[in-house]
Amino acid sequence: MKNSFTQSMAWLHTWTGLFFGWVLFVVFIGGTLSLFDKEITRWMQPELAAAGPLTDEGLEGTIAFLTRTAPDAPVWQFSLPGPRDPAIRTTIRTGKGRGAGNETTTTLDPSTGQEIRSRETIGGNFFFTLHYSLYAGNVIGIWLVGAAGMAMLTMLVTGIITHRRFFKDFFTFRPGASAQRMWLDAHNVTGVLVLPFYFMIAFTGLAVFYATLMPSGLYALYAKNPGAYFTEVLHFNRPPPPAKEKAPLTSLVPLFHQAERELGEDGGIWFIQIANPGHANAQIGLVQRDGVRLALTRDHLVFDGVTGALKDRAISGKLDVPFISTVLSGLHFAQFGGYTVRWLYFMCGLSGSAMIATGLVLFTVKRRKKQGADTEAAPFFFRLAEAINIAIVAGLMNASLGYFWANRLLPLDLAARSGQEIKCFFFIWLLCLFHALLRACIARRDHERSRTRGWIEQYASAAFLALGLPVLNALTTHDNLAVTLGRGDYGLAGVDLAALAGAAIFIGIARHLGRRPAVPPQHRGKASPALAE
Amino acid sequence: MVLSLRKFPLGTRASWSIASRVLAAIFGGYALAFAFTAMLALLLPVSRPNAAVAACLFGFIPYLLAILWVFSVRSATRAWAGLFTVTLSCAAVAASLYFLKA
Repeated sequence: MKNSFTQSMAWLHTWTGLFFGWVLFVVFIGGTLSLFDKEITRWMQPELAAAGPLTDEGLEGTIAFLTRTAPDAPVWQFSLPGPRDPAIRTTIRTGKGRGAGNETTTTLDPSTGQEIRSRETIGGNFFFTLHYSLYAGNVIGIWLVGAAGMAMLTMLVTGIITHRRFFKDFFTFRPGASAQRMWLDAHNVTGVLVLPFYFMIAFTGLAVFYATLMPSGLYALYAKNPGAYFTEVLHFNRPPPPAKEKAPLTSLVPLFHQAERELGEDGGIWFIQIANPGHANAQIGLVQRDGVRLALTRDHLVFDGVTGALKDRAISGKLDVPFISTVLSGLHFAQFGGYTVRWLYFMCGLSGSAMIATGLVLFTVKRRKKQGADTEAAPFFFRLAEAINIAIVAGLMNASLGYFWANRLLPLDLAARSGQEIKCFFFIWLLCLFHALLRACIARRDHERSRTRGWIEQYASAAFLALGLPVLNALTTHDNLAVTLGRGDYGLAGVDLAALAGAAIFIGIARHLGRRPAVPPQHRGKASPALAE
Repeated sequence: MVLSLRKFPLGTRASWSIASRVLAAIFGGYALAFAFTAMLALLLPVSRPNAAVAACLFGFIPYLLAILWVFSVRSATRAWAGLFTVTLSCAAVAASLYFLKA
């Protein structure tokens, strides 16, 4: 279509990048923050500091609590405390679907099974849902993020072809050069630095949803018997509908200790699922904690809920289950290797976010130079693209920090509080979009300066929110950064410290943009010909 | 080097060619990958769960190659023709294997 293969690939890189860059930036930031989802949740529920260690009494208390509060629920599910989460969390499905709104969750003290009244929030899970579905629902959202994953693979290949000189340019960073050169250098450096990670994370992200996004392999082999897919591939037996006859539930404690002996060498039991409690066909499943190995295997034991007899044993390596998908999921979810791997993925995720953001900026910087978009005749489309860039990149920082602020500032007894926190996030994001569009509209007379002003103002406000977060935390809870650091609680201190580090980055960007003289880039290029190439 | 909207205003032949290629890449590429995955699942000489999952996972690679190919051939018509040929061939092989096994 273009004169040469390279030019076609460059074209594809640019336009795929513009339209999917917006989605991908949100997916990257959401995924990067999800690496510390449980730490964020713990920060957001300071009431859980009262939780004690897990005891048999706590397990019995949990069953008593569920019997009392949800006697007719078809399934009881609760997660056990672990190194990153101090509480027992029960989940009862109240609606037909999944996720917030269809489930009620409660936090219990692992030592007693008594409820700990903590503020209603979904905590770090918010960023996880944002990461895989953008809150656009489990159909549209997953397909949109899936398309973005394919677009990312496309952009990685076309990017290597387009920026093929980058191995030579790798050690070149020219912050004083023309705006375009600087953003290009930054885009190349962040792009090449962890290139294998990007391929891995985009491909494994698609692989996680293989059954939704590319199901024809399953159709071809399981069309006649879809149920066999669940038992053969997932080794997951759907619980039968509840039996008519009632029967009391067997004691959970001996089953728990048997499962701990069989599965618990490293991580122990993560969660317990009880289907048809109180009925004659009750069954109890105990699932191993992730992170024992790279593959995400979810080994589990299933017991008869009335007699306590072992019904099924799903242990990885002993079954003919597709190992490849568990390895790919394991690579994507990063539950192996503890905090070392979490921090590695975190840095790679930040690098990816920077690569996407600089690519988006590069698009508008390049167009402005080419099309004389500094003039009043700047095409509507490019101004719109610039405003959306500001709202997506800087606006998302404000909205995410606003979510943390909402967690501390909303009244504790507010109805549907976790939903209100999410509304705050989207409301602040929308405000950022309005602000960016307003800046684009009044930018007619003095385009260059007021364009930069939109970025500066949003980064300044993000810096304020980030700097204020540890202060707000100290004012609204019994903890503060000095106390959490003092007792070596790096999970909680990390959230405050990350906010401070974020503030430093935002201030740095705002200052850098503010320092730039308000002259068009081509003039600046002439001033330093040696650097501008 | 890069196409601009000014050079290719809406409604011209070049813009239709681009629109046609975008559709070919997204939907034609997916159809190709879908058919290829079904064929691969039926061809792989491993047990049923492993064949099904491995085929689904590999399916994203022909999709990627199809996207790149659509944007590198000379005309949009060629792109569509190529996608049709490969998709139909894969689907034919998959269908015959499916009914042979049945």
